[in-house]
Amino acid sequence: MIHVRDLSRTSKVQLALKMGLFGVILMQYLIFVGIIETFENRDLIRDVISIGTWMTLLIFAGTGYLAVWALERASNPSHEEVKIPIRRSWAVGSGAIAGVLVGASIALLVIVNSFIELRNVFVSISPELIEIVTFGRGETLAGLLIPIALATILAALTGSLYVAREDVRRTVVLSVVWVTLAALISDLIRVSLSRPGFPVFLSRTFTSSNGLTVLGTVTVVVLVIAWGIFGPRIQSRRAERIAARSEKGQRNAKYRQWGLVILLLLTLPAIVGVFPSEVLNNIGLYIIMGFGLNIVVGMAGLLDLGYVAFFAVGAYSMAVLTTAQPDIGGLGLSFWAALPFVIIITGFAGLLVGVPVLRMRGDYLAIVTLGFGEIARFLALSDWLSPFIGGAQGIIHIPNISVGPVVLRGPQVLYYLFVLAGAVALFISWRIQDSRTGRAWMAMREDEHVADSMGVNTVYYKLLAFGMGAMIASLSGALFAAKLGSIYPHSFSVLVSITALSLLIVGGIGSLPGVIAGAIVLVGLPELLREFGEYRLLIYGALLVTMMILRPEGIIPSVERARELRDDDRAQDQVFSLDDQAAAPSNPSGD
Amino acid sequence: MPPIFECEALVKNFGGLTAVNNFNLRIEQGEIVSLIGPNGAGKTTIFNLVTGFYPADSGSIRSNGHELVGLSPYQITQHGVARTFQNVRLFPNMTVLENVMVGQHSRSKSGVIGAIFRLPSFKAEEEAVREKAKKQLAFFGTRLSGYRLDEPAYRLSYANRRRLEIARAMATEASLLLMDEPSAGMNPKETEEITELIGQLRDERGFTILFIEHDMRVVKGVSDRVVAMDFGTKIAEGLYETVAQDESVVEAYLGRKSEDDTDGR
Repeated sequence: MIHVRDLSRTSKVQLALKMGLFGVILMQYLIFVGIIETFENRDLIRDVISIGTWMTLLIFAGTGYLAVWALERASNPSHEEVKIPIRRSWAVGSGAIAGVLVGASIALLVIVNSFIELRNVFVSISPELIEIVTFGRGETLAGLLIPIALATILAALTGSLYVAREDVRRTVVLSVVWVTLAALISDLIRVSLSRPGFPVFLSRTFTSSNGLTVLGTVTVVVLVIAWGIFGPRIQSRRAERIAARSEKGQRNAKYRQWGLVILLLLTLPAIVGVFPSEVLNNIGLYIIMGFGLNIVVGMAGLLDLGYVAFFAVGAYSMAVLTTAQPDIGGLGLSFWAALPFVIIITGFAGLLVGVPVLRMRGDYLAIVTLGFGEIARFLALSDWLSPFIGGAQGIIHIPNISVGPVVLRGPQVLYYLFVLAGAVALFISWRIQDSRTGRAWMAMREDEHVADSMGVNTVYYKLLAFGMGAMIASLSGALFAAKLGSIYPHSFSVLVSITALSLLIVGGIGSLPGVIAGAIVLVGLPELLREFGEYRLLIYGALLVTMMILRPEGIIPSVERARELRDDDRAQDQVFSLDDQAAAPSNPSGD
Repeated sequence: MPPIFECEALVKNFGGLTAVNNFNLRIEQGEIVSLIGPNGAGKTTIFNLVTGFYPADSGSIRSNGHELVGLSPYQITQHGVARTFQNVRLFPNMTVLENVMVGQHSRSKSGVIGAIFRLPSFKAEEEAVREKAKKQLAFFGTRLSGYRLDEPAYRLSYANRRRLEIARAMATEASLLLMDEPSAGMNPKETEEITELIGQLRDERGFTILFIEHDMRVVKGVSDRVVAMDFGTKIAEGLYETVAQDESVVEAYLGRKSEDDTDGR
């Protein structure tokens, strides 16, 4: 027996209005912060539609989708049971109601703007913006009606799409997603396609200097549809074939898959070209840092907001040891000769930070480490240390890395060093995770007092976590210094710490594949989408909030995190007894 | 030979409140001693002093002749004293098996290098730790074995969490187990089981046990000796029957001039 919560007509309308309001807030927010206008200059499909307009339309459509989704959720109280389909008339109606609201909010903005010059306060509300959101009609009656009509129709359409056949729905949604993605990275596609050896028409046909071409867009859609039709068949046939094999054959198939992944990883810079390789290296930089920070935050549970300090120490010690700059007194060592010293020095820096914060936990630890991160930058900037590390002028003439007689130059070659260092960091993290050390860290993260009373020397393990985390960050810092050839204090801002921590959260705290996914999303995408540059922090914030609501365990969660956040029956009694509260004098930071 | 556990003239003040005042206790190998007393008598404080959670103001605590005052909790565990908590405190997001394996921490010694390179010594030790942990869990029959080994601890029922906590303490290979209200929150059947279990811990596993308990059926059922406390001092000590009749104990629980039964409930 299926339980359906029968919603009254009013509550259905209310729900649609509520979701419409979400759309309104999102729409107006993007308008007011200027994202819509910024992206007007970049085309999704060349000379057909700009990304700014595309975003506006996406919000119209998305609001309708959201409204029906909410309606479905409200009518199906339990998520486990068979879904009760929403009647088409209600799907269309909900979508339209929500859409009207979004369209009306734009009309209202145009009206208000015609009476009061909003631009005096909100710089983003420019005449150009009004042109965009009224689809070129400006402050006319048509300009007011068109957004309302478009929003209503689009939202109603997506509302009915929600209740359409599964394959239709999937194809449309995937087409939109893939076209958007392809357009956003069209530069990357273009660069990858236009290179010696490739016929010129390839890059010209599908991409342009400003977005996809019409043909490119059609190709993407056709590919999505083709995959929708043939994909499941291919996959099931593959699965059958693998299942039919012996156990050994299955294992071989798995090895072959991994072999392919590794092969792809090794040929990637040659495939994508110079600029994307540079982006890959930046991602690599953060992947390495992510693995290090994952030891400190993910495994040992020590919230470190000053992780950039270790990155900086790694970079600076590498710079000082290898630079040929005479006034610094650099030692002129080679990269490889300096590397062990860099790791050791940074490891000690980790201990140095670890000692004063031994008795702190949670918020206190976060604030103090945040301070350490800033101290590191100020020290690098200071006149006091400038004879040794260059002050604001930084350190230049850091030599290229060479292997034997071969000098490694250019991002496409350096890439392999990042892969190597990343692999080392991954290997270390992975091996430690499932060991006595890893368990001690996890126990400490779960309950420090109890870990202590089970024989875990928490002082030692905290310092070990800081030290190991710092040493891994030093790899990243050393490569950073050698890659750029010069380093300046401003490269080591608090933003580095925040990015590293955000990528852990977005990827899934404690999850090693999550680190990679998080770095690709948070470091890779913004590099590719130049226009996002100034909105980077905004996007981090939005992404973090969205993740916390929709997928708190991260993109690729660790097993235990997923369990913890998805299980409703989590009921460990965390109330401390009176006696434990009385322990406060002996641990000033408290819980 | 020194007794397995001994504390002398133990004092602990919290500001103006004297939680433990001149407390003495001696436990011989293989004894089961219960610590009773009304709420706030200082029982858990004694546990916290013994296990190093609080520093003692003065006095001495010795285990097998080793002075424990001034040591950290983890060192005290290495000297053979392990505890459970009044409100179960597990590592909720670690699996049942991992929880017990952490208990083995002070009895194993592999480090980072061994883990990274998976040295033979690391592998052997890891395997031994795993086997020992399973053995401890097997003590509780089927309740904490099989598929449950890989369940996160927070998914266990309340009673099983208590059992897991005991298993974790057993895994430290301590000689003295301190159990803080092992029957708290359990139903009568489970309480009966716990009583039996405490006896088995000594008879089959050779632990010496000091436990705090409010349920007099457990105290009566299993203790060799009962120590009653009030206002931080020992007010009576001896066999259950003697202590239960003791006038100061009756007074501590029920107030002056009572002639009711002394079960405290």
